[in-house]
Amino acid sequence: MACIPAKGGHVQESRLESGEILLAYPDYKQPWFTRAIRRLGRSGDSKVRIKKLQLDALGTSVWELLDGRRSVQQVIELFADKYHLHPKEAEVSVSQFLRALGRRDLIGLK
Amino acid sequence: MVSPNQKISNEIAWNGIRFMAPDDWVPAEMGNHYLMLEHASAPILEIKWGQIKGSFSHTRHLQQLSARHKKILGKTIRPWTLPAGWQQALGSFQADGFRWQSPHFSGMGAALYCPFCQTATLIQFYRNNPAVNDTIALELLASFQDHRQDDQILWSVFDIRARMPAHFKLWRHRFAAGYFELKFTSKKHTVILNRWGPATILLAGRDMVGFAGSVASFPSSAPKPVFGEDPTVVEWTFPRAAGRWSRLANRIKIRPYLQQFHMWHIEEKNRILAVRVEGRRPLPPPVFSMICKGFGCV
Repeated sequence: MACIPAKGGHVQESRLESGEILLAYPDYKQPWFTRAIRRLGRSGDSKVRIKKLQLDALGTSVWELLDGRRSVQQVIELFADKYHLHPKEAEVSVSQFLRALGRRDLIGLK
Repeated sequence: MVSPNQKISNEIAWNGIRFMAPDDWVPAEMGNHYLMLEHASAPILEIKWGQIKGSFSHTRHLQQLSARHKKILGKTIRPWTLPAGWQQALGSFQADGFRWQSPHFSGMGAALYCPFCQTATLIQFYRNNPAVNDTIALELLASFQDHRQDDQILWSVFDIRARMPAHFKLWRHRFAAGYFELKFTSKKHTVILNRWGPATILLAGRDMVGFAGSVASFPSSAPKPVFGEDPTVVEWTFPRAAGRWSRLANRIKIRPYLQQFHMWHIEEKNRILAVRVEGRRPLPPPVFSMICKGFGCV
């Protein structure tokens, strides 16, 4: 909870008309068939794919709170205050969301 | 570390028992007759309870508990003489103390028996959690109750409070971020209490009637739900069939169906609450109204 989440430098964000945020990030993982073609000596498609992730309203709120200075605990408290959530409820939803972002390498913890 | 002067102002009530606890002690695990609270993501209080048929023996109960825990959890449980403060706090109960030790945790507790309602309760504090201190433990124990004089059962966890007639038994509960559900059954009815949040997000681009349509399956043949006296309330009742044959057909439906629905938006709390009744017949209006009035958000 004392860790500070920071947005990845490779993530580009844009705001949609709805106010929600769209994240775009490079996906360096290659599908198994591309790896197989490369092993067989063919060139395969070496272009890096760009993946997109559209955050919903709550995800957008949490994303906006990540400024590289606030700790996870502070983000949870601000999020709970903004939406009048029970602290435990805010803790569960924010930590699940941060975990999902972390799995995609969109944030790091320092 | 928690100050000894910390207020215990949060009422926790679950399936017959209730007590006051500090605000930051939150339920982590709940069963029909089991409650575990945590503080800062570490267990702090555990309660088990149940009705006893016949006579209750503290010694036998602790021996059984000790044998089971040693086998399953590697815990060592030893009898412990309750301090005078504990005995005073637990005045109306027959109580015996115990201490336990496991490789990672240690604690102390009491086995209680209430001769009035014949409920036995095992209540134990995790001593290694720094948030436990004697003042809090004593206040909590002094506030502990396992029955009410009226025919109602209180439910109070996180930010919801509900009062249900005692003949409704808890069938299922779910506490997910943004969605709480308590489902009760009796012989003839199922009552579902729901709490959603945050309402500002859920109601973006739609009104309460639209939201009600997305969370409850109203029969297509029946009229749609309508706003109540004000636009923060939605009400719906299964229409009483006009003809005798239609009424008979409704009564022999295999599955119980939605009978009554009441949903309201608490703007200052940013929550939406709903009470749903399923069955072959509606709940008597005074009972339905009492359940709706007893369900709220703190």
